[in-house]
Amino acid sequence: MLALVRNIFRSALVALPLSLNAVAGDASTMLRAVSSDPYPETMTKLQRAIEANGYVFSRVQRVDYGLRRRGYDIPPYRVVFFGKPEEIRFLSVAQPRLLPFLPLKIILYQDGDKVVLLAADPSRLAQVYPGPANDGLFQTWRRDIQTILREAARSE
Amino acid sequence: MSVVNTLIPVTAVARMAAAFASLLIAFSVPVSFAGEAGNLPVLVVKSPYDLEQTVANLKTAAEGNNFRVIREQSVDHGLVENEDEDRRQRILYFCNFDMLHDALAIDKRVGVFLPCQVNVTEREDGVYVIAPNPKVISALFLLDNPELAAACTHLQNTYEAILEEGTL
Repeated sequence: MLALVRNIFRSALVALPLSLNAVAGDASTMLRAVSSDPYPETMTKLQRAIEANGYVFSRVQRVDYGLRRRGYDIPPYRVVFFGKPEEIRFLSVAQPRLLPFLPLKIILYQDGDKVVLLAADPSRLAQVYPGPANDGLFQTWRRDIQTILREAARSE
Repeated sequence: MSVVNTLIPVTAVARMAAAFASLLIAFSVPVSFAGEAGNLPVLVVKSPYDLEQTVANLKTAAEGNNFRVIREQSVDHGLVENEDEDRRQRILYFCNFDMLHDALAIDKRVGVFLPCQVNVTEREDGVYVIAPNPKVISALFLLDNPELAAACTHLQNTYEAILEEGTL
């Protein structure tokens, strides 16, 4: 718990400019990366990147599967849920207004011969949940998601 | 039991309590939800029922508003062992597949806010239902797609109906 707080306040104190490189912002509202690898391989790399960055992979929501069962034709489109259990438990009590945004999510969808990985930029939440502690948390999420996307999109 | 053996656990508990209190002070915003409006990306309603009844009511309300309940889970499901899940924090996921298909046809990015969900949280002062506010979220994250505005208004009306019917 104390390590969690230290991490969050460290982020608040040293809010460094984030290098986007292979991870683009979409008018600064989305974090996006593109993989040239096949969809299954990209999904596997995403799960590994999530765990390598200190998060727990929770589950996958198969949006495409549900739509196909209803008769809609859609290429692969899935939502990956992940998080840190101690962080979620803490926020459930201290910041219940953040519950609709937890666990964290990244979507993967097939776009032609590429796979797009996309997440909402958590730093946008600072506009509606201001404060230094929240800023630190949202910047940490943003940095971590950018790293995860970068690692998942990297071709081997 | 020696004095030392009793003092050590008391001191440790006191340290943890102080740390937790300072965290709450650092992070907390007032947790009285009643009367919140408009600019927050969430809708909040206090339920007059206990957690299980609230969840059951919300399922009925979602189905009554043409949504299919696709999943109910604890918020930490999949992140901890099953027996360690916090059952006081629930998520109800639901979907209208026709609306979903139409939304994705407008903007593939909407998936970052899927599936539709309501959170039910049991706190010391009762049970609260917390849902995303689609209009605020759309303005915050998808501001460059005005086509979504009508869909988000419809979805917000639906969320409000589900929350109201689920907590009547």
